[in-house]
Amino acid sequence: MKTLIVDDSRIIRSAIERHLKHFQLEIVGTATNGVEALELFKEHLPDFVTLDITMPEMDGLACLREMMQVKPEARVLVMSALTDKPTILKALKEGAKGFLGKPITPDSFKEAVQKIITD
Amino acid sequence: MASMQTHHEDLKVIVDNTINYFEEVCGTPAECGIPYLMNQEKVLMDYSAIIGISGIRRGALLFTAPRPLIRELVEIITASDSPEEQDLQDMVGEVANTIAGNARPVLGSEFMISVPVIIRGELLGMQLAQPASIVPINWNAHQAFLIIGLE
Repeated sequence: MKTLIVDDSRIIRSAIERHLKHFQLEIVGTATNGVEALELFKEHLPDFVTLDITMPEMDGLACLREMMQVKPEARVLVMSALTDKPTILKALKEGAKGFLGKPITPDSFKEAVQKIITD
Repeated sequence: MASMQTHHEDLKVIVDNTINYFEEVCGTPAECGIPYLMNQEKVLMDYSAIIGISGIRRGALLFTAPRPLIRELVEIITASDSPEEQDLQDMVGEVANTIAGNARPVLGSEFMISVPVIIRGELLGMQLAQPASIVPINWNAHQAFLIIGLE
C-alpha cells in the first residue's frame, strides 16, 4: 500500500515513519505543507495518507479536498491538535477515513492506522 | 475585551492541556506552578514557540523551555538519542501547537491559532496582550514557562 506522510513538523514525520514500520506499507513520500503534499499525491497516487491540518502554504483540509478530486478512494487519516467536533466532522465530510487527535501516542496511532488500512 | 473571569478560564484550559500533553506523550504529567502576571522580566529560555490567537480571542500563547527538556521530549517521540537542532526547534513548535489546538473543544472552533513561530533564545521587544500571565510548568526536574496574553 503506497503511503504519503504530510506534516510540517519534522519530528512528527519521523515518529510516524517509525510507527509505520509495524505495517506492510511503502512510504512513497513525505511533505511539509499542503502544496508539496498535493504534488506528491498527484505523482504517486498513494493509497494511504497521514495528513496534518495546521500547516503553512495550504492547510490540510484544503489539501484533502483537492486529494479527493484526484483519487477519492485514497484512505486519508487526518491527524491534528484541532480536536473540536466541527473540525473533526469537516475532515470526515471532506473525505477523510479517520481522525486522530494530537498528541499522538504509539498505541493510538497504530490503532488508527490498523483500522483504516484494514477497513 | 474578554473579562478577567474569561481570562482565568482560558488560562485553566491551556494549562490543563499542557499538563495532559506531558502525561500522554511522556507518561508523566507536568506540574503547574503558581501563575503570575508578566512585567518587564526576560522569560524566554533556549527554545520558544509563539502561536498567534485570533477569532473569539486575540493575542498569543508562548511556550518556552530549556534545551534539556526539549531534547528529552524529542528523544521520547523519535526514539533517537542524537536529535539535531531542527528537531529541537520543531519540538517546541509542536508542543505549543498541540496545547493551543487542544483548547478548541472547550473554547470553541472560533478560537483560531496560527502556525508556530520559533524563537531561539531571547527576543527583544516582545509584546503580548495585557494582562499576560506566566505559568511555570515543571516536568522531570525541568522548568518551562507558558505565557498567555489574550484580549
